[in-house]
Amino acid sequence: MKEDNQLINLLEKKLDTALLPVDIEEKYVDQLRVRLFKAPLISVEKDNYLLIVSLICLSFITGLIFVFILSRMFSSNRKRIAS
Amino acid sequence: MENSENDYDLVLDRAIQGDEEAFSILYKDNVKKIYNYIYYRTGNNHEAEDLTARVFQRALNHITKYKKTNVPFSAWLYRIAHNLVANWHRDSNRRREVPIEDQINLRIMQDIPEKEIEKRQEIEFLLKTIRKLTNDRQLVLILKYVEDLSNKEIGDVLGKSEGAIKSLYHRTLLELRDVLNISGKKE
Repeated sequence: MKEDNQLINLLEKKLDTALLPVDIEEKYVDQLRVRLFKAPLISVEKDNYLLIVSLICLSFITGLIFVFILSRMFSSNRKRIAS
Repeated sequence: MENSENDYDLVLDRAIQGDEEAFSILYKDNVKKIYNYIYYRTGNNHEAEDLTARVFQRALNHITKYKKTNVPFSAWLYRIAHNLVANWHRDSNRRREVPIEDQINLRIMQDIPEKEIEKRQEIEFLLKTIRKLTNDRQLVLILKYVEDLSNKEIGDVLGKSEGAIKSLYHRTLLELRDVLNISGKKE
């Protein structure tokens, strides 16, 4: 028991010498603070799915209208030729 | 004492509302603690700087979601630091890199007396053994020795009672004693 306590005391002394506070550079602290609050130089662009879907829908509708107009034009031409 | 606690509370409230100046005060109060914690968990100065920056970056991004409890603000930062250190350990295990500091240390050691080298190696071995302990146990040792906190204060950070910390500390010492003893016999 006494030996146990002695070992624990010895270990505590070792911990006392091993675990010392590490000094942090003031320059690093200041630079990090500036970096934290500075707007990032590189901005990450996120995909705007709503915009992409709207563009696809719009081009699809435009295509449909275009095909409809073309088909109307051809059908009126054919009627004219037939008559 | 109560006044300063109230002031700190006000600063925390302002930071939660997105006040950068208030967050800056919290940063200055905690940066050294977090750096020390990470330094002893990684054993590497550059990683400690990099991870400390990431802890505060993450804290700043999520401060508005922070919920005030009885636990001190630093406990939240320690938790973020713990998660980042755990990721770092996982990634560095994958990479299996030899820290540059180790190589530099070997070169420096050539000019140091043998007794001093033995002492340093002993400390390094003790630190490596500490790094193999569970997170709670490492945190108890770091807060007790590096931050010089009492069992009560450590309990506040870890959200445990003073008695629980006392017992955890004792079990940590016993584990360290056993590991170091076994290693001593093997050597």
